[in-house]
Amino acid sequence: MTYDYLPHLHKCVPSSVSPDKLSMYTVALEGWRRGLPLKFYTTQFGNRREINYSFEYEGKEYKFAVAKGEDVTQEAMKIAKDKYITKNYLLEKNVSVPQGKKFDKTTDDEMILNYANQLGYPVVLKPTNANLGEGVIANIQNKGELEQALKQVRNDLGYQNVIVEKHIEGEEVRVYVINGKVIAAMKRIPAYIIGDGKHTIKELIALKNEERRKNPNYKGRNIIIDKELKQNIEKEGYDLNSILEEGKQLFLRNKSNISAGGESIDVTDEITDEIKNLAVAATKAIPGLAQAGVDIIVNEKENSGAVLEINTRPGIGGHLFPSEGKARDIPKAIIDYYFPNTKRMKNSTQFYFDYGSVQELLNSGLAEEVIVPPVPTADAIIKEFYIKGNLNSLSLKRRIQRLALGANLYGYLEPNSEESGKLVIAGTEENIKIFLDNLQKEKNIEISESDREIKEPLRAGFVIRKLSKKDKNSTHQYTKKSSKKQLTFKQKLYNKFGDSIIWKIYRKLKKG
Amino acid sequence: MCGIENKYIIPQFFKKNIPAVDLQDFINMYTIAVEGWRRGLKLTFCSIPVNNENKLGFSLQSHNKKHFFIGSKGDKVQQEALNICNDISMLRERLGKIGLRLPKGKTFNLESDEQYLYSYSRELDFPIIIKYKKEKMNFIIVDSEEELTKVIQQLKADKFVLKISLEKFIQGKRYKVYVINNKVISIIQIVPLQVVGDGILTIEELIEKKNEQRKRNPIFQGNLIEVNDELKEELSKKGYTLDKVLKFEENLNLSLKSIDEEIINETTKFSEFFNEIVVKISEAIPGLFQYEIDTIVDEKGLLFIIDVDTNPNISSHLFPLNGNNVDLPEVIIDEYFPETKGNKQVNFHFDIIKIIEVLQQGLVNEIKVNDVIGSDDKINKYFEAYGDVNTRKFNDWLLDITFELKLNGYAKTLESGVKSIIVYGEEKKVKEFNDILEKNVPLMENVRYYDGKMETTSLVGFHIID
Repeated sequence: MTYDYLPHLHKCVPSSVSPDKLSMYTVALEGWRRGLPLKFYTTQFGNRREINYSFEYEGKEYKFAVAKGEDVTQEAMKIAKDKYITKNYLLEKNVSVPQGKKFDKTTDDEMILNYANQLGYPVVLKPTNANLGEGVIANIQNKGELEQALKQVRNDLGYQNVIVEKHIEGEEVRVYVINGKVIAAMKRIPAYIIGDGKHTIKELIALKNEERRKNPNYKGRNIIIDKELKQNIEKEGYDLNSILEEGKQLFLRNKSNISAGGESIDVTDEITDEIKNLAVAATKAIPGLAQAGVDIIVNEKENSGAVLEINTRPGIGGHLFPSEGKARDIPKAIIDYYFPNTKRMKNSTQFYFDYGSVQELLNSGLAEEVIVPPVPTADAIIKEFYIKGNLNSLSLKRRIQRLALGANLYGYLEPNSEESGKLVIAGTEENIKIFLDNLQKEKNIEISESDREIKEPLRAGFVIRKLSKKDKNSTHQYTKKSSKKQLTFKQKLYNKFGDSIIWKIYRKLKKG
Repeated sequence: MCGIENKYIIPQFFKKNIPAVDLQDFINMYTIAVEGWRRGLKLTFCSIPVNNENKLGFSLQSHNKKHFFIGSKGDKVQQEALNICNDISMLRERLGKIGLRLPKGKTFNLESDEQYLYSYSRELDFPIIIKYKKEKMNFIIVDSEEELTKVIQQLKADKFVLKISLEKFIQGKRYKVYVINNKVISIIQIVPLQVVGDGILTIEELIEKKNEQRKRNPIFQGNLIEVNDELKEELSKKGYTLDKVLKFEENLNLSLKSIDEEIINETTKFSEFFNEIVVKISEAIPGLFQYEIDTIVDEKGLLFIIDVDTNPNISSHLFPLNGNNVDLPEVIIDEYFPETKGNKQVNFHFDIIKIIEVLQQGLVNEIKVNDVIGSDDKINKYFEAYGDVNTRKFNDWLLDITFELKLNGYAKTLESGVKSIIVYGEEKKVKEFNDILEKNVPLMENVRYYDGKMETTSLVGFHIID
């Protein structure tokens, strides 16, 4: 696997951003970097709480959810949610879709079977409205298989309303369209490993998972060894302890979902104009749909395709961090579309903002809205200094922190002993001067500039870092003391939670 | 969580206000913010640069107006008033005009007036108070020219200090008076550390008793009297030893460098006396909506003003060692938002520590605190969940459902692996939560529950504690 990161996202996605937050974070980051004031807030989405965000632009608030802005209307969302209604809109505009029919809960399985016969096998069975490909059963070859599938989808999964469609042979691609333009296309392949003639399958899966952790869109989405996976490798004549021969590619799953270990491959330059036009036509067929991910089944031989589904809230992580091919900058395209006047803005790609604290404040219900600190202006520079002084003193460190933030500077202070450390600050030359002037007024502080060029991205804010590990032994007492203090601080806060509560308990044993 | 009732003995109205952690510099901010928030005002905390230094402030907003605060100072204090109070010579002039005295003194420029400063000090005679402004007004008392020289040299090294004032030190009783909208609200007397005998206990035992009292006070708890060489020396200077029994009502004043002076609330005793002065001050300094005057009354009963502070630390009024506590946050919010006077307060607070932590680091710029959920029929319930409940999936489910039902509370994993869940909110929502738990919940195998009545404050939001 080779990862072709967008350079301006490299090391700029905080670890607190899980793959399902990647779309939100990267679009928010793009707008923020162009200087748009950025706010996060909690809202209700279905029966879940969800963090959404908004930009302020020319005095107006622009709300976003996932990667979706307000030019995807409620109406468009409603249409896209129902695959059958979507299909009718597409048919009306002569957009190619697989032939099929919708059945509601009053229809019995027998009628559906009859229809399938008429349509001709193979067919696809899918719930009318389910997300993320749940309950979609493709390539059903005969009546027996369809009976099985109907039982599974209608009874076991509980999706009474279903669609039966003609199964089209081909490869499924996801095409991302904004404002009538194809920005990216990808295909997804199921979890796989490639043999090296040395490692067992079990070891190769572990290695693959290790590798996946490095990709922001795959991390935490491991390949899990379960019944289906074991069956698949057995089908190929292996078991977990077999050594896979060099160069042999072994698929581990049936589904290509990224969450089940699948991978994305960029095919933007591979798909033909006909397919691109089909994707664009599909988004245009739905009123109020400025951006969407269109799933198309492509028949390469005939250079034709059919639209399977339209996603109004597609995750863009697969386009940003594909396993193969070029990363596509969807956040840029989205922000360009919504805020055209910021297009030429020179943006500060060396900065990013923290998401963990935003998430913590909102998810705990403590805050309802959080505003992110502004991005440094484009003329910001980053400098590193060596600092000498009593860095054991929390009040001095706090003062340095206040002076840096007060002068609109970001960065960090990293002590490497009790008396010395390094100071990295970013901001305009003028503000750095104000900061240094104020700092030099402090007693017993010495500052000298380092000649190191700071290339790594910098997080907004000013953090006092802990003593770096390699120096810890020499200042054991200091770290021990401070960490103990922090513990009691937290303990105090939380232990009180349970212990101070006086309960008048009426035991009411419910079960067991 | 965070009732302080186990730790301090504090009047009822504070129980709901102060978390069990030491808020230090942020106690003003917190006590006022929480008072407004609990009356239903929208509360937003933010970072704000003041003279190129990052400060934390907050705003409170009702449907038709918004007020901004830094520390205990709200936006009704006008810039002109601030300018006067920050400049001792200007303050001296203004107050002089209306016949109020500052102790005899003068302001000097540290760089240019150094020689003149020494000759003036001889004129004043020692002891002398050196006053200078660095963030706040600072006072240093010096007894000799030698000490003065030492302090001046130190101050010259501090580039933030440009001007200092020298003033005659006045022996007398020191009072701090908190004023808002021309009304004297609270008067405290600052007294030296004093041990009063009862004819039975030794000095050491009396000090121990004193420490017990300090331990129960949130602002004195970190400043206990230690039996050390300094104390022993001070005692022997006065002709005492630790094991000596003080006579009944015998007063022993101790001046120890490391020990803060004590605070006694004297509001009722002196408010009439200070009322007259306050009226004069507001005429002399327009736009001075809220402030604290620091005063000394000398042996002859003459009053001297030492300082007029527009952003005082109100915690001394909140937590005196003796006398009544005055609920200044309540008074301040009453003055800024009179329409919320008497609004029903709910027994909630919020995690101020988290807010301070992220704002100090500049990780976020503004935090709008969630609304307090006010309701009379608020109840709580305690659950113990068994099964695969210490997973992210279960935690996420909990956060979703509590958000949807607007329930506050927390979930904590016990050592046994059991998840204890406490929710509080509207009765029907708690019931709904109960019903959902009884049905099918992902990963959870079993649940026991207890009805409870919580007798402490609760934190807004739902928190997962690992």
